[in-house]
Amino acid sequence: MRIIKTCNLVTKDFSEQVIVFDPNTGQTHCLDSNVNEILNQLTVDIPKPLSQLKQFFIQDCLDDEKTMLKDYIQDMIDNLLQLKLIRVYSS
Amino acid sequence: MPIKKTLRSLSTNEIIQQLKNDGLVLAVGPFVFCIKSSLSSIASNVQKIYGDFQLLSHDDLIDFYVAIKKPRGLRSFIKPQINFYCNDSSPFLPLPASQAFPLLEWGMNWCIAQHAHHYLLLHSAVLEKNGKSVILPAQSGSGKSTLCALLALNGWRLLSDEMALIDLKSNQLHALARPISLKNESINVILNQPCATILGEVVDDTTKGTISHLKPSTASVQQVAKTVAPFAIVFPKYQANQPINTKTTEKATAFMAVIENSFNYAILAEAGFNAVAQLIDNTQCHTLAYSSTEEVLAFFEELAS
Repeated sequence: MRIIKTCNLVTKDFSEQVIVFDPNTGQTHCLDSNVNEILNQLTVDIPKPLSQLKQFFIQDCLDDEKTMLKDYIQDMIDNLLQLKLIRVYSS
Repeated sequence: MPIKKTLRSLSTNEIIQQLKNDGLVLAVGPFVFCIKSSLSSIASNVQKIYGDFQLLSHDDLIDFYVAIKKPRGLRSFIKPQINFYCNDSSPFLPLPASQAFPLLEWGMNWCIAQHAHHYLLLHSAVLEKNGKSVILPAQSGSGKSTLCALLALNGWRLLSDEMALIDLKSNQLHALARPISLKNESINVILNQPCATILGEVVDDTTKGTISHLKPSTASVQQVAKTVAPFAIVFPKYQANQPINTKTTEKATAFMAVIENSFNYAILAEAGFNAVAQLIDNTQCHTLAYSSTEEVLAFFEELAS
C-alpha cells in the first residue's frame, strides 16, 4: 500500500498535540503530536509505501519495541485515513 | 477635535420622530446602524440604554438598516406581533410585540455575526482592565453575561457582552460596547449590586426566559474606538454553591474550544485558523468554575494586576 498526504494541510504544533486544518473539507482536528512525524515523512505528490514509512520509524528500535511501535503507527495511519488527511494512492 | 454628538443630546420627541421617520443613525462599536421603529417601547429603551452612543447622520456610511415593525392586518391588533428587518429582509419569525427591544438587540447581534467577516467573531464577553483584556467564551447558560456585568460594574471596561471582534490583520480586539443581556435570576443579582445600574425594560416569556438589558458604562462607550491586545482567555462556568476552581487549559484544548465558540471560523477557513493560532499563542488560557461574586472578582483582579 502506498500513501500520499492531502494537499494544503495547515498545522499548529503544541507540546502534546497538533491541530490540523484541512481546507479541502473545512475540518479542524486535534491530534497527538506524533501525527506530525508521520505527516512530515509524506508528500502531496510522491506516494510512499507504508512499509517504508514504518521502517523509517522503527529502524533504531530494539526488537521487542518494534511490534508495539508498528501497531501504534498503523493506528495513527488508520486514523489519518479516516480523517482524510492522508489517502491511499491508486495509480 | 470635534465634539461627538451623542443620543443624549436629543429630546424624547426627537428620538421618537427620528425612529419613526428616516431612522436613528448610531455608531455601535465599529459599525453604523440606522434604526427605525414606531414602537414606543423601542424609543424608551433606546433612549435609556443608548444615551452615550455617538449619533451620526444619514450622510455617514451606514452598515445596517434595521427596523422593528408591526405586521399589517389582524396581528397588529389581536395578540400583536413584531418583525425584525435587516436591509429590508426579515430573517426571523415574528415575536410578541412585548419583546420588541430584545428582538432589536438580538437582530443587531445577528447582523454583525452574519456580515462582519473581516473579524474573527467569537461568542464571548470581552473586558479590559489595566491594559489587560480577558476573553470569556461560553455557551448559553454558563453565566457569561452575569459575570460580564459584574466585572463591568467593578471597574472593568466593557468591550463586549456577546462577541469578541478580533482583527484578522492586527490581531487586536475591537470593542463593541453594547447593552449586556441579563436573563432570569441574573437580573436580580445585578440589581442587588451596590453600584448604580441602569436596566432597560424587563421582558418576560421570551425564548430565553425573562430578559433585561444593562446599560454599558459611559466610559466603556466613550472608549469604544480603543483596541487592545488579547491577554487571557477564560472559559467560565457558574456552579452553584461550589468554591472557585481555576485551571490552566492546555493550548490545544483552548484552540478547539475557541473554534467551538466562533461564529465564522468555518467561513474564514485558513485565515480563521491563523487568527485562532495567533490568539492562542499570545494569551494565557484558563477554565473557571465559580459561584461566589467576591471570589470571582478577586480572581480577575489578580489577573489584571
